[in-house]
Amino acid sequence: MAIPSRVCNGLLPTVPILAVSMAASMVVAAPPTGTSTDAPSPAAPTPAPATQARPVPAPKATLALISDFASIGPGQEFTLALHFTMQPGWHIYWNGINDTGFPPNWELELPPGFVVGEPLWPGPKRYISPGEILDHVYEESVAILIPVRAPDELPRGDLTLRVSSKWLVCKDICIAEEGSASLTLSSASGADGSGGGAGGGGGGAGVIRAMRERLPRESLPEGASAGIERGGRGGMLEVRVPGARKVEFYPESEGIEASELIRGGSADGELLKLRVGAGVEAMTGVVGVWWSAGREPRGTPTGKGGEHPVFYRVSLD
Amino acid sequence: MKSVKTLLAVLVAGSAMLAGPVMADDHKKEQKQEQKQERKQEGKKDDKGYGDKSKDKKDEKKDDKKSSTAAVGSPAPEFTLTDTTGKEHTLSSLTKEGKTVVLQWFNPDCPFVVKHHEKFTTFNDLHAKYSPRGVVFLAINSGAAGKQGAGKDRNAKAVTDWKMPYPVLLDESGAVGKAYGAKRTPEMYIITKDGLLAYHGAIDDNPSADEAGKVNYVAKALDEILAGQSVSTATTRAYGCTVKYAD
Repeated sequence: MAIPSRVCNGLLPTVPILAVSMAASMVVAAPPTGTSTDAPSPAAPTPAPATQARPVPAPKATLALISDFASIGPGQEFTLALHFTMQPGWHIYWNGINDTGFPPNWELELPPGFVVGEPLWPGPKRYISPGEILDHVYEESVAILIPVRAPDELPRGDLTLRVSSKWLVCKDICIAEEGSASLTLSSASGADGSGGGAGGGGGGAGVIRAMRERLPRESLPEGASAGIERGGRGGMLEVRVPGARKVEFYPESEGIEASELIRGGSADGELLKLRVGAGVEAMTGVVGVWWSAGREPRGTPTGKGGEHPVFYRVSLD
Repeated sequence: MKSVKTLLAVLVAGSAMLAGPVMADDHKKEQKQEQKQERKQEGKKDDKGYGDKSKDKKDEKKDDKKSSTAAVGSPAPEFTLTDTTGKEHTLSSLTKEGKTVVLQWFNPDCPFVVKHHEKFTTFNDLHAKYSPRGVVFLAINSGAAGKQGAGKDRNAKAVTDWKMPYPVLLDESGAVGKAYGAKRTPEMYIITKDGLLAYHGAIDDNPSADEAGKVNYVAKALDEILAGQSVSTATTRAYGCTVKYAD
């Protein structure tokens, strides 16, 4: 029973993931590598694999595996996260609708019996390229949170968790990178886990807490509304958030064309309207709200300087 | 940004592909209304991407300028472009000869393009299989001068390095790319001999930068076209790096 659980998220988003062993196509690689595109081309082509034919630059995004608890007890629920840190100017991709780009995928290697839930993606930032190209990205730093539950029977001693991941990181050019990270937690049979301690628990908890604030809340706050008004030739998506000074929409499902999203996906003030294609039955997405001072609902954290809006999920049908 | 704003109204229908064929009709109507407003501004635009052939048919020329409607089932935008050897290629000349034309938006430094030319030989294999059956392959690079992977020298080198049996056409103004609504490399279009767009989207079903796809949508569509059948999967979402249009 010493077989570790391997958990993959697929290339396509929004698939609930439990502790299912999946055939692994990726090998855990220790050093980060990349398929570079900003290096000079090789002088002569060979049949050798691409990564050997081109020099590998320093990675533009680095990956760490973090946890909000350093010590895990039997049956305990805690949060792991893939913490990406990007070089200035570089970004990786959200798992919603993007014109180009490609969100990270990963494979987790956990001790036997650990169960993971669906990954939680913080809200993104709009990124528009010439030629009317719209993507949704993460800059600077982001952590994708993964709820985990430890088994009721926990081996003593240290628990080693590993992740290997592949992602696309872009600035004006794109590089396909891969990396891996591991994390050692201690098994506290019978004891409560605590948020402090070394080995990733302390620092991890702070980053994870901050990233939670960037997760979309389950629904818009009271008083706000979102809906699709259907007409003959298509509909109009309207999001109204009283008290907002700016509202943005980030689609997770198809139905609104890129040009509409580029012009209308960000609105000053409290009302955002977007034309929706005819025949669109349902839409899901995330709304980003920058609140006017003092207008945010109670309990909303006020971030410093509006770097990130407050994100809310909308599900319309 | 002004030029981008001008183009925004023009490019409406190209993005219709993201929402699938359902959108096409709506946006054609809107596009015609916008045409009337935009025509005067557009009249003076430099038409590098459009060759002598388009002078013969006034209507087509208007459509060419407005249409980023590379909508499946509609006439594909006409173009004449020069390849890295200096040779000109005109779409209608090829279709009139009875050829089926496959367009591949191209950037030799994009990992997704590299995947299909180095790790796998997807495109060369397609050429080997379908070129004898009257299919013409053209790669188009709409990157602006100075951008990643752009320019005659870089693309001529790719043709040599990758032993490409088909040319890379240079569209540095981005006019043809925008007419087709191409946003990514690789992004694929198939035009049948009657000049209609029969397929638009991804090369295959694996959007990673290093893994092989199971279904090659272009091969599947070509098989159907050559057998006289309609294309069963006519639109997919293309994956790849952003086309490097001018700022």
